[in-house]
Amino acid sequence: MLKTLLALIRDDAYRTPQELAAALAVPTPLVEQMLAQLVEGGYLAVPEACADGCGGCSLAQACGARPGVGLRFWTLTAKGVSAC
Amino acid sequence: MQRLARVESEAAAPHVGECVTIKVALAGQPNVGKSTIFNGLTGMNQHVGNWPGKTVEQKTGGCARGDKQFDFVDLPGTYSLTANSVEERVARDYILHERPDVVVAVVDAAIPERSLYLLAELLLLPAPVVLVLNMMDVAAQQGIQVEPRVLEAALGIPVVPMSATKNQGYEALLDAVVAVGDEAYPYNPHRPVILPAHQTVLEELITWVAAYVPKPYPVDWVALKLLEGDDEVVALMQSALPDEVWTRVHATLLRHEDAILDIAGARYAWIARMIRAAVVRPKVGQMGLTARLDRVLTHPVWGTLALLGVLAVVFWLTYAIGTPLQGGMEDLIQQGAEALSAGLQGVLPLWLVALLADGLIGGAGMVVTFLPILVIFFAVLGFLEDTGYMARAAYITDRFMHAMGLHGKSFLPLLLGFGCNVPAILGTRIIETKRARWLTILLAPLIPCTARMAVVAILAPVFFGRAAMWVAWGLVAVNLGVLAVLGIVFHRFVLKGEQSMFIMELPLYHLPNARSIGLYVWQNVIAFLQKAGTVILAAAVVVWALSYFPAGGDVTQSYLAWIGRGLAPLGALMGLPWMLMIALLTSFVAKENTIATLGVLYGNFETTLPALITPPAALGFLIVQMLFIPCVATVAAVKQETRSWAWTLLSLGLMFVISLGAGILVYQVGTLLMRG
Repeated sequence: MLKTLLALIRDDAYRTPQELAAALAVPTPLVEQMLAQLVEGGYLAVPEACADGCGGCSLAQACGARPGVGLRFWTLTAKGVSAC
Repeated sequence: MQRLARVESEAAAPHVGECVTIKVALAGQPNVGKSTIFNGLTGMNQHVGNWPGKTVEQKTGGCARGDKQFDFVDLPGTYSLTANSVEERVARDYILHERPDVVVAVVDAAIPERSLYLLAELLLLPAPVVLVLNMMDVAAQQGIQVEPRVLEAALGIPVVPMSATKNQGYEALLDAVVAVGDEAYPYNPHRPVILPAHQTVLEELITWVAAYVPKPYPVDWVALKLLEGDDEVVALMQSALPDEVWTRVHATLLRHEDAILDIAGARYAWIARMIRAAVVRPKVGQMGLTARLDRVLTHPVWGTLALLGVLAVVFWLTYAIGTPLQGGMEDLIQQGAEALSAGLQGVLPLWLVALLADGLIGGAGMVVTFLPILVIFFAVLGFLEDTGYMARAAYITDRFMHAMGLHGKSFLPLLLGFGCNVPAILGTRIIETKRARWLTILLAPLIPCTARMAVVAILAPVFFGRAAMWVAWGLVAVNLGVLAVLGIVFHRFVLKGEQSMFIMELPLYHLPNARSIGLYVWQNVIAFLQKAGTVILAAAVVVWALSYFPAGGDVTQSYLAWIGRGLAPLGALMGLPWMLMIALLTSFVAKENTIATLGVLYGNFETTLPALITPPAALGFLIVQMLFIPCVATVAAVKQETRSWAWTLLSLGLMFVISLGAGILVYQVGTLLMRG
């Protein structure tokens, strides 16, 4: 099932854990658990706060999309691509 | 085999009145109610200490029922038993080395799928397991039906429904523990099955390592953990195996490095089967608020329309509430400037009075008058973020970027650009390929940052009054449209289909918290005021000095006029006087300087400007402002990240040509239409 999940992510037709859960016909928490395991194995990566330039902007706090503060993302790594 | 450890060890068989001790380990994830069950079972009869040699808390306790004494150990909360954390090592070492008579696996009945991976691993260890479905009451409240008997049949182990906080299920749990401990229960666990592709490899490993596995480790379990790549077991067997056997084992493990995907994948498939068999979730009509809202707000069509509507409401609220307040503040500032100017005439040199009244108050002070508009703007954005909508906005935006082929890892930094272009440029570090990264850097300044949006929020009502909301809305669309066109061109002809896939989380919607929104607004306002008091103030003074000297206040004879006349031919193509071109130029230092410069040059520009330029020229000016070369901090970030002057100049040149081209086009076409 993990390989199937990786293949679904690679196919780029699904964007959220909810959509992946529907495609696999499993509950969303199970998909989130699988994503965590794939991150642990190095097949997916979770971008941490990837930028440190907010100090230069007077309106930096308005940026609600900073990783670690707002949204959470998982990206496919090279290991993930070759595994699926 | 009798699993129960007898207190009176000399006895060959239990006698009447003899007390039998059952050693029970409680396992489970954090927050599944494991401690509540432990406390409910042991009451005051418990001891808290540390696991030997570890800083992890160990809780032990006991209770008695009839002729049975139960010794409980509360294992650390873990999500699995893969030895990734000290808690996981403690939990599995206890079961392997201490061999409890029964392991009780506690599961949250509202989300059983989360805990079943741990159960799958517990079933591989040499101790019988009783499954507790705790929080049955919570599951029922959420409309989730869990069938303990069905799950028991599917798993082949006892399953006990409980609501520990309501004191329900304790007796049934002890009954199950005794039944398993006494072997009265037909314990026959249906474990996850390893896929055939790796079954042969596993059997080979078992054959090779069987003679060398140290006690008390089970051979099958050690072989499986080797195949999973478990660091602790790999190290254990590396030291236990003779070199030639280890070389063979190691080579096999390297060849099957991804076996973990099949082994863990089979466990997830097993969990999915169990859940499908025993758990019934609410139907569509009963689904939660988040799911219902997301059916609309993340829909390709309705979600996009909703996003456009939300954007329109943001601007409408900003203008409807903020503009009248801004007018009041502007009157106050102007009265203050006039009073100051009148009061200091003759007291201070004329130039100093002009600097204070026109440079400081007229420039930086004018920027401050727009604070109410920004407060409303940030309050609405803060509200949207706190409810969880911003994630949906990102999701819909991704569809838009996906459609133009620019998605994957480019999306994240571009999303950051809506806050500020500087972190967006720095954020491109997550993109591995240089080509994709540099092209994302090239596109990032086209994302309208909040500073650009703030300038538009201020200037749109000056030129377009009640239509400002639609103009601002359209300006954002123009920026994204230009980004889309460039993205498609780059993707087709430069990146040629290069993609990087990603998944994003959609958090639950929730009621906004007034304190969170207040803090959000406060942080932004303070940051804005700090900038107004430093960068904008300094730029206003420079602009004032250039406009005052050498003619002593006659702007038309000033240094600024000299610079401005050089820009006049370009301005004429857009119907803009040179002062507006200067305002654009000063936005290079910081976008908000446009406002400060207009304040210095025109004083009350809100009444002056609409009379000076035509609507097509005003629209062209706003478009140029939105697409113009980014601020100096962004340019510095481009240079720092690309380490290329050529690329930095290309970025500047691209923005310059696009912005002025768009401004000229809008003015010329608009003028033609107005004449027609």
